[in-house]
Amino acid sequence: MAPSNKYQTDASKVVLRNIIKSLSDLSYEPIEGSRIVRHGDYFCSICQTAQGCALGVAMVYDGLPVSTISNIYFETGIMQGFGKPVILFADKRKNLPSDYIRHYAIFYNSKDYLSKYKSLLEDIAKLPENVYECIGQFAFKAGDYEKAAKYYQEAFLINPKQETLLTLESIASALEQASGIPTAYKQRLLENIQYFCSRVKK
Amino acid sequence: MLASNHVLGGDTTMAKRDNKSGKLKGAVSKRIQVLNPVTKRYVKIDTERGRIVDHKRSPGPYKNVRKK
Repeated sequence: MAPSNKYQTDASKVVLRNIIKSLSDLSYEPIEGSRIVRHGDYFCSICQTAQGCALGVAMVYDGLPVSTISNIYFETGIMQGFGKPVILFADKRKNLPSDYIRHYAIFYNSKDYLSKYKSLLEDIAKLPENVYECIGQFAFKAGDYEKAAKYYQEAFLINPKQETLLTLESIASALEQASGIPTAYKQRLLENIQYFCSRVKK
Repeated sequence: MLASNHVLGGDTTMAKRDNKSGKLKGAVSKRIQVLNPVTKRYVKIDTERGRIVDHKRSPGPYKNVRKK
């Protein structure tokens, strides 16, 4: 989620290049918000892309038009709502909403911003094993297939392991055999899991 | 307060208090805690429903809750 080229400064271009390089080094495939292919409604494409991402990275700095800044915060809010970790790069503390300051904000005017960013990415990479898979496992046991699938999907997006995919398939088969679940809901959930599995296998 | 306790699973079996020493004995059942690597804070999970029920505000683990 970076501003389009016309609003970028020399400093922000360097930071953006470093962000993209670090993501590529960790085998993530960076997608720039301003270059998302527009199909149908633009907002719809943003949402679809955000749902399929492991994490979000946003950048704000002085000199950006208010409409662009509000757009960036709106998109980070959507990603947070989808349960994705969002890292926010900013030039000054005063440019940040208070909710972001504690964990996910990095000030790129400091010298060690790149090492902070890399360590935050490493922490995010631990989320599947430490948190997502654990909750997913209990949700699966409790018969909450929607939540279990959601957590395992998030875990797979951050750390694509074959085991996670196998668990997702076992959730799908358990859901198929489960009784007492409304048919339409069951069908929607099954399609969701099967679509996810088929897309990531490609 | 009562309503929110109920929503968060207030019917959990609490750790028992030892009559002699007055200290808590045993762990709270149906709950575990895991460390969120990003926030560095412990998260309490309801193992019966597979849901996050609480997120610690201060460093360190919850007392009398099993760690994963």
